[in-house]
Amino acid sequence: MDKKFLIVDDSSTMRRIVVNTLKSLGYTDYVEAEDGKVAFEKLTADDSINFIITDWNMPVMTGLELTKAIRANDKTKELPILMVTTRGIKEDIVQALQARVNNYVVKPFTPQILKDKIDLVLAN
Amino acid sequence: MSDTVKDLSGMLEKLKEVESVFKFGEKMVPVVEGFVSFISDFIPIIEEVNGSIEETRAKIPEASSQIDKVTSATELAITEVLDKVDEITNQLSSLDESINEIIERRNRVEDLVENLQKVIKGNESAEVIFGELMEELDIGLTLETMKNKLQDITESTDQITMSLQVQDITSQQLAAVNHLIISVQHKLGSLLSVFDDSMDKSQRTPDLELPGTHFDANASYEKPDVSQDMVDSIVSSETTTQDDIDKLFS
Repeated sequence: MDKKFLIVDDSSTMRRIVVNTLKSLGYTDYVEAEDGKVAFEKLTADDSINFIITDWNMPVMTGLELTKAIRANDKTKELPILMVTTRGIKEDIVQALQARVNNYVVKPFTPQILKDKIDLVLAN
Repeated sequence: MSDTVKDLSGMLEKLKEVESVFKFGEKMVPVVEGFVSFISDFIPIIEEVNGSIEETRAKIPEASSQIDKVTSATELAITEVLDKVDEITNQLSSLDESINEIIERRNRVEDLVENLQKVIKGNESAEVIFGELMEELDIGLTLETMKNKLQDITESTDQITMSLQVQDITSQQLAAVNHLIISVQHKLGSLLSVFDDSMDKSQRTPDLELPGTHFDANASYEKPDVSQDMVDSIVSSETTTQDDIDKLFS
């Protein structure tokens, strides 16, 4: 099945970098959102989205809140989520895992790290 | 002693007490005068402090605005750099395709050369020219070098893209500073109200709206492999069981 990514980050620079990385990996189907609320609206309106890459710190709705909202919704609860954030302390990582993100990448990341984590999430 | 004498003695004692009060008062006058003088001197200082606080508060919106401008300008500049990186990446990809095409054609030429070699076998002068031609056609190594260089350049552009993530990290640090200075403005406003509640609030610089805390104040730019290794070890250990994670929070 083709992958359609939802890239959620309030920084347009970061969205661009993630998009570029995905393109270099051969993934060209994606939509973008600047915060968790917009992301959730797009997600519930578009059944073809099947992979979420989200930042943590965002206005309106954080990535953690978005993750909880996705997991609480029957329609979206099984979707893979990759958290990509600057937050690299253990408590944050554990908190994200508790909210059931599938994997966790700290910024700055290399394209290879992002690729490895996407592959790992897809493999599982 | 008659009652009259007793009364006079009592009155005398009272007068002495009054006298001592006056004497004490006399002694206190310079102290009170000093205190009044101190207060008189202190009022302009308080007014100066008030003015200084208000002046500082008035500068904060500009400082905050400057921080926002720095963030926007950096984001714009980074976008321009990313545009250029995209152009370079596209050109590299195009060059790589061209080199692959040359390699394929070279392979086809090699087949033809092999056939030609069989045809001219025994013709010495043709074989000499053929030898020279083969030397000229031997570009395999050059093509490999070009492909390796292209790979190096691609890795460099990946490195640039990774380094540009510093913009997101610094913008979060700047947002944290902005949040801090706006909080200071609010605190100074409260302090000003305590010192001088007579001041018309409409004359004061209005408090900036405190932005949300949608930033990571601890964001830092570290070598990605080192940080990610640490994250991976936590992820692998913490995902063992949900119970293990729950225990950390119980």
